[in-house]
Amino acid sequence: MNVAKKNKIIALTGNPNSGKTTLFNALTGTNQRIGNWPGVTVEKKTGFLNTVKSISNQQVEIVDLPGIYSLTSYSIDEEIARSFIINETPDLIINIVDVTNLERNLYLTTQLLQLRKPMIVCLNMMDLAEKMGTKIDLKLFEGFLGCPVVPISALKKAGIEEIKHHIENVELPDCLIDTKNKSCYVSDVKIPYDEFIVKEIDALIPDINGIAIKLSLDPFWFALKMLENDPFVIKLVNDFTELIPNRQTRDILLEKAEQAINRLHRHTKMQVGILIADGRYSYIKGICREILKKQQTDKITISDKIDKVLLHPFVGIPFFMIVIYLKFMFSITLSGPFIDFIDIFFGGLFIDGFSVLLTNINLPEWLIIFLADGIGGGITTVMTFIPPIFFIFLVLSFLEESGYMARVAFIMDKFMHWLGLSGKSIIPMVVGFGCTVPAIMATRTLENKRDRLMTIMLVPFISCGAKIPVYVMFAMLFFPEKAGLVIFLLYLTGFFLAIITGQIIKRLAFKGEPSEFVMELPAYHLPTFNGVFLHTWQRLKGFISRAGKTILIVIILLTMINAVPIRTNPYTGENDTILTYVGKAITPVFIPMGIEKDNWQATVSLVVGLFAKEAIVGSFEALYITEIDTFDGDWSISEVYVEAKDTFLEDMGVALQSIIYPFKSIDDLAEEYENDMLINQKRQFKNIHQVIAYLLFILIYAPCVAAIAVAYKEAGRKLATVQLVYLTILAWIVATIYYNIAVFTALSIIWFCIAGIAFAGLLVMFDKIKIDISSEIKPNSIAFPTEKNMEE
Amino acid sequence: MINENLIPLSKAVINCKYKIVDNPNQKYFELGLYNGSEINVFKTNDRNLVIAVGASRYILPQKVAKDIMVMKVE
Ligand SMILES: Nc1nc2c(ncn2[C@@H]2O[C@H](COP(=O)(O)OP(=O)(O)OP(=O)(O)O)[C@@H](O)[C@H]2O)c(=O)[nH]1
Ligand SMILES: [Mg+2]
Repeated sequence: MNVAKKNKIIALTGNPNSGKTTLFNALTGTNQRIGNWPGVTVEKKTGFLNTVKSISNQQVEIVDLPGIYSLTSYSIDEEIARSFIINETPDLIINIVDVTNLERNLYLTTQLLQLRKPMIVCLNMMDLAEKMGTKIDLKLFEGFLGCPVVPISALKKAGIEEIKHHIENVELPDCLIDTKNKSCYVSDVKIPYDEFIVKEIDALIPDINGIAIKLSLDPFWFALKMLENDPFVIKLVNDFTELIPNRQTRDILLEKAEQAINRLHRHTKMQVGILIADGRYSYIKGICREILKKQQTDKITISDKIDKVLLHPFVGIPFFMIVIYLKFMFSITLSGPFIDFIDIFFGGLFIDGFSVLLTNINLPEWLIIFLADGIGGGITTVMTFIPPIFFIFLVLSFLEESGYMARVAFIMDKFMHWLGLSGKSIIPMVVGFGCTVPAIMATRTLENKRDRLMTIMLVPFISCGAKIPVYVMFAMLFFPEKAGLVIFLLYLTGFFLAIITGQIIKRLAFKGEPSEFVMELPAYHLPTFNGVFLHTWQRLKGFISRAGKTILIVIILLTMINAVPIRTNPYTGENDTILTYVGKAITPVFIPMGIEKDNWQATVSLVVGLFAKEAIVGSFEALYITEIDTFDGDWSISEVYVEAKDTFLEDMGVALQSIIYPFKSIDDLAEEYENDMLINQKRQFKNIHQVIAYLLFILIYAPCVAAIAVAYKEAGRKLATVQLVYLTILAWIVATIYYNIAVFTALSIIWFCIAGIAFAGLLVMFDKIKIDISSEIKPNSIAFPTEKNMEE
Repeated sequence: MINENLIPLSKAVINCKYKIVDNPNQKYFELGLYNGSEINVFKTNDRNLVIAVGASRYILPQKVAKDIMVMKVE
C-alpha cells in the first residue's frame, strides 16, 4: 500500500533528568516544563522541528517522552515512554545520554540499540563534562555503539545543528546510512551475553521469528525479553490471537521459554534478568574504559557535601520549613507593597483617569461605570496579581532548578509516611503550589496505585496559584494591611486539613502501607539568573494572559447577563435576572456560614469559580460594581504617582517587619475591618467573620473544572466524584463551624449538629467506597499495534 | 560457605566504601547497583538510605537494602 508522505517522527528518549525536554524545547522552540529532578515530564508531548530548511516538504514531528532507566517499566510515566518506543515506529530515536553519568545512562542505550531501530546517541551536558575534564574518544565510541554519537549541550544549544543534520539524513526504509560519517543508523552491535543465554535465544528465535517481524520487533530482542520473563512480552504472546491464532502453539512457545529460563537458572544459579543486565553492564564498563580518556571517578562532589548538611535529620526539616515560609513570604508579604503600588497607580490611571476622560467626552453614566470601573477595574485587578504570582513562580523555579525538590522526598518521608503516603508524594504537592493540574499529573511517577490516588485526594488542599488572586482581592478589599497574615493562615489551614484528611482516608478508604520508593538525587545546580527569570517570566506571562482573559470575559459576560431581566419578583417588585434568580435560590445553603440572604453575588461567584478560581475575581468586579461610586474631583497623574509611591514605601516597612513577626498584628485585623466598614458593607459582608468563613470555603471547595477533569482522567470517575463531594461538603462544614464559633448564637448549636452529621456522612462514604488499588502497570495497559496501524 | 565479611547493605556504616556482592533485585541492578559496583552510604534513617553508586545518588528503601549483600572495601 502506497501511503502519502507522512510526517517524520523523531522520538526523544533517555534517563530521567538527562535533558530530553531541554533538547525538545531547543528543537521545537517551545517552552515545555523542565526541572532538575527526575520525573518532570510525565506524558508524551509533540512539537514540530523549527528549521529554516523544510525537509523535502515533510513536517518533522518531535516527540518528548518521560524518562526511563530501562525498557522495563514500573510506573505510568515509564510505561508511556516504553510503549511508544516499542510499539510505535519512530523514524529516528534520539537517545539522550547524560554524559556526566555515562555508565548508568548507557544501560538504556544498550537496550535501545538491540531494538535495531534507526537511532542516534546524543551526549548531553557536554558543558559540565568539559568542566569536569571528561574527554571522550567519539570515533571509538561510535564504533562501539554502531550508530552516530553527537556531543551536545541542550542548555547552551550547542550541537543542535548536527542533530538536525541527522534528522534530515535518516530515511526509512532504504537509506539507513549516515552519508556524512558512512555509519549506520541501525546498529548491528552484539552485546556479549553469557553463552548459555545466547544458546537459549538461538533456540527460541525460530519459534518467535514470525510474531516479532509482524510486530516490527527484533527477534533477538524479543527472545531476550521472553527470557527476562517480561510480563508485557509474555502477555503479547498470550493475548495476540491475530498473530498466533492457535492456543496450543502459544502455550508451547511460552512453555519453551519457561523451560529455557529454568535451565538457565540451574546452570548459572542466577536470575536470568540479572544475568542479562550483568552482561550489559560488563559491556558498558568495557566501553567506558576504552573511550574515556580520563576516567569518571566516584569522588565526593560538592553536591554530596551540601547533602551532608541538608539531609541531616536536625537540619533537613527545619530547612524545608524555612524554604516554604520564605516562598510564602516572598509571594505574599513582600509582594504586598507592589500590589498596593499597582492598585493605587494603575487604579488611578485606568479607573479614575479613564472615568474623568470618559466624562469629559460626555458618555452616558452607565457606560462610564462599565468601561472605567468594569473594564478599567478589571485590568487593574489583573495587574495586581503580577507581583504575587511572579514571586511564587520565581521561588518554584528556583526550587525546581536547584535540585532541592528530589531531596524533599527524603527529608519528608517520615512525615509523609505518618500521613499514609511515601516521601515521593511530596513532589506533586510542591508542584501544587503552582497549579493542581500538573500536580495531579505528577503523581504518575508514583509506582503504587494506592499512593497515587491518595496523593490526588490531598493535592487540592495546597492552594494553587489561581487562588492567590482571589485571596489578594479579598485582602485588598477587606483588610489591606493584614493581607499577608490572612493568606498565610489560609495556607496553614489547608495544610492542616490535608493532614486530617490523610489520617482519615488512610484508615478508611486507603488501607495498607505506602510503597517503598527509589529516587535519584540529581546534582545541585546553581540556577542561572537567565534560566530562572526566563522560566518565571514565561509562566507568569502564560498565567496573566490566561487569568486576564478569564477575568475580563467574566466581567463582560456577567455584566451583560445581569442587565437582562427574566422576570419581576412578585414580592419585592425588583427585576430578577438569571443570576439573581439562581443566586438567590442557592444562597440559603450558605446562610449557616454567614452569607447574608441577599448576598446572592457571593453565591454566583462561587459557581463561577468552578470554571477557574481566578474568575471569582471577575465575578466580584462585575456583580458589586454598580454600587461603587465613580470618581469625581480633580485628577492628576503626578498626584496618583506620589500617593502610590508613598504607600509603597510605607507598606514595605510593614512587610519587612511582618516577615520577622508574622503573627504580630493578628489583633488589629478586626479593627482594620471596622475602619473600612462603609465600603465593606456595600459588598454585603457585614462583618469580618463572614469574609473569613467565605474565604475558608473558597480555600477548600471543589477544584476548578480543569483539575476535576484531570482527576477524572487520572483517577477515574469514582474517585473524582468522591473528591468533589468531599471537598465541597468539607468546605461547608469548616466555614460553618468557624462562623458559628465566631458569632455564637442559639442557632449555632443546630448548625454544629448538622455539620457533625455531615462529617459523619463523609466518614461513612470513605468507609463504604471500594477503591481499586491493585497494581495498574498491567500488561494490558500497553497500546498494542492493531491490525489497522500494522498495515500502514 | 558463608562469608563473614558479607553484610546486608542496610547494616552498612556511613561513609565507608562497600562492594556489592549480590543484588537479587533486577530493578535496582539496572539502576547501576550491579554486582561488583562500589557503593557508599551517605545517610540513613529507619526507612531509607542515601547512597552513591558511580556518578549516581539514590534514595534507597531499607527494605531493598536488606537484600543487597555487600562487602567492605579496605
Ligand atoms: N549544564 C547543563 N544542564 C542541562 C543541559 N541540558 C539540560 N540541563 C538541565 O538538566 C535538568 C533536566 O532537564 P530536563 O530537560 O527537564 O530533563 P528531562 O530529561 O526532560 O527530565 P524528565 O522529564 O524528568 O525525564 C534541568 O535542570 C536542565 O536545566 C545541558 O546541556 N547542560
Ligand atoms: Mg522532561
